[in-house]
Amino acid sequence: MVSKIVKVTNEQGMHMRPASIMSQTVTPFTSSVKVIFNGNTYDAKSVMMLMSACIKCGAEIELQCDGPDENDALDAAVKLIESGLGD
Amino acid sequence: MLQEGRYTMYQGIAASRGIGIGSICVIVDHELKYDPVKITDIDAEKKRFQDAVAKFTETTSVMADDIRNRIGSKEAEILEGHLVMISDPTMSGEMEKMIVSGQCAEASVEAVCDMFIGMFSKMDDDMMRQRASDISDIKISLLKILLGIHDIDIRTVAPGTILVAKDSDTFHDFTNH
Repeated sequence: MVSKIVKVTNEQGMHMRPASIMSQTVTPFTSSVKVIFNGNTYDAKSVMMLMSACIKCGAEIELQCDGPDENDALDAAVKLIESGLGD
Repeated sequence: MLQEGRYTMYQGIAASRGIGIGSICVIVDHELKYDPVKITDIDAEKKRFQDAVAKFTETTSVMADDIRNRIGSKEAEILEGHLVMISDPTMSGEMEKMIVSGQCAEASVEAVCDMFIGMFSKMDDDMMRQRASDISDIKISLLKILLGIHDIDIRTVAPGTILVAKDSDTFHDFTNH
């Protein structure tokens, strides 16, 4: 299992479009991809779960990946968040 | 209602000034009622639900394309968002799990949607609270498909048709689209 803490920098946070892009990015990986925020764990492959986390601009989240391609999954997720989630 | 000879007169409140003579199109508000029966044929109920989701997806895609072409991409995003939400494993996946546990499709749709509506409507973020309204729209659309309720597409009504509805809110909704 691998993980990294990243900061959400896009202005509107994890609203519909960024959540959708995040989900589309990590779903193809076999590993589970979780977002840990405010003491709760959310499935990053689910747009609804990502939105329900109510993650705003400036929030620090932990990305956690577990499985055979966990390093690739984590790299992809981190890169996406650090680039502004497509916003 | 007054009956005189072969004529029947209905009285109401005029929404437009003047007199019109033409065909009548009655816009009916449907109640989304169903019997929450326990399902015994799970496979058949799952298929019924999946067909409803497919129909919802097809109809919403067509509407989104129409709005994108007629008005713009930004306006089409709301409907595109509906498509994203219904295809999410936590939405349709959870609805299917409930069907497998014996709930009818209507009850499953309502339960999962109401759960998310409750969740999003409590958030301290305007955009997230808007999602509650989107999920409500999805719920109503899916229930109508499952219950076999067809709404009139006002865009296909011939010019000169007289619209009749129970309340002015219905007209407000239609004239704004």
